[in-house]
Amino acid sequence: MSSSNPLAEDTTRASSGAKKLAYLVCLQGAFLAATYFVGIWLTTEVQGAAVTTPEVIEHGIVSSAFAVLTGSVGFLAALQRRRGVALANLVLFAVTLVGGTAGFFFLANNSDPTVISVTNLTMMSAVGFGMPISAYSLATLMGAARGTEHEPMSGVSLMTYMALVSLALTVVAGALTLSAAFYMEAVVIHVGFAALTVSLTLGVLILSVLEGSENRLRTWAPQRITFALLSLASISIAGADGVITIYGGGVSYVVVMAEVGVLAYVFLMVVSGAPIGFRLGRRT
Amino acid sequence: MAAGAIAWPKDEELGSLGLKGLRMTLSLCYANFLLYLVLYITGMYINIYITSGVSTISIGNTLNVFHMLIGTLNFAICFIVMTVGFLYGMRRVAIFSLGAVASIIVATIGGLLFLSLGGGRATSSSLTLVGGWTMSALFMLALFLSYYATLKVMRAIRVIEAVSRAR
Repeated sequence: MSSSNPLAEDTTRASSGAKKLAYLVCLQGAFLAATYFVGIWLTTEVQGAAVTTPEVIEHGIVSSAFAVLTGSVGFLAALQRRRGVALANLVLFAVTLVGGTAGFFFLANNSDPTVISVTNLTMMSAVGFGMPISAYSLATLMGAARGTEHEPMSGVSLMTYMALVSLALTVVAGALTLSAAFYMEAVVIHVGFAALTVSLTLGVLILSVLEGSENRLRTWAPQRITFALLSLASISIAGADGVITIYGGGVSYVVVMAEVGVLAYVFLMVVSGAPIGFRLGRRT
Repeated sequence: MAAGAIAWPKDEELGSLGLKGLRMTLSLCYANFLLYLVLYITGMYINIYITSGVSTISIGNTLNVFHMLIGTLNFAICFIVMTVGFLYGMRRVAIFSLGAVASIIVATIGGLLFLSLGGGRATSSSLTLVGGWTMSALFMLALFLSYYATLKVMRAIRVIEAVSRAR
């Protein structure tokens, strides 16, 4: 007869639930990246958006998937009694719905500057704040899956969140640059937060190396360092594209800037604990 | 089996969610019915008072935006209930909700067809009317399927409560 420990069973079930939810967060992150990229493409390359424009339909589909996944993550986290993740995602869900509603109004009146500004700001707020929220959700859930939920936050994790919040503010300020009334202020804020993001990502890289070298076994976490390095490269390229856009003009650089900006977000997500990658370190 | 132990009913789909989680899901299902009602009322208002004559409706009409917002929330809740069903081992809840999700997707396509082909009954093509009818019929199907998913959640709650009381 086999004996079972109810406490161990509960822990295993909670860990399995957290891992499943973490995969849902990864999917949410993927749709956030797609929503942002198609949205930027739509803003810069498509004139006279209408409900039947293929790019609008694509943006509608990926953003709906992002909204639905955000709502799902929020509710499932509530079921698992993870209050922080639930609250953050349900608030993000509400912001996303506001962005969607602004988008519907924009489709009816796509030449009014106020409607354009409100649409850009609400949508970019949903995308921007979705970045740190999804990273926080992922790190919390992966911590729960690994059983390290109650350990103190490491320096790398803290700096990764700060970099993502800074990236979010960069994105929101970037949306404001499209408004003629706030152009100058928006550019200054955008550049300022972009520089802060680059600095913080550099900090993530340095702290990843230092935390690895302080390890008792003297083995580095190569995966985290590699992704921090890739993130720094992406955000630096995005910054360079921004400089070219200001001096040379041309909206194609804005698209590239958004594309590599999204890459920086994805790499920072991996640094914060996404369950993607390989065990490169040798076990001793 | 040990003396005094209560057996869980074998034919019931109780899932692994627990009573508290099931009650939360049931509350969500009730909220969804409220959304179905609002969706029905706004849809009927648009049908009878806006598009019944020669008038058309555009995507930016305030009532239409409200209707679409409620539709998005309704879709999100059906999707959440479906995910709960799949993740916590309630097959019937998952399948009924999947049906509701699929119905709402096709209904949305019908709605977009209606809007993009004129947005009116008298002045538009027969394809516009097809879009409108698709939206109405699949709305009813989604409501029916959501109702069954809710019944299954209610059943699981009652069985768990009964077994807990017997204990």
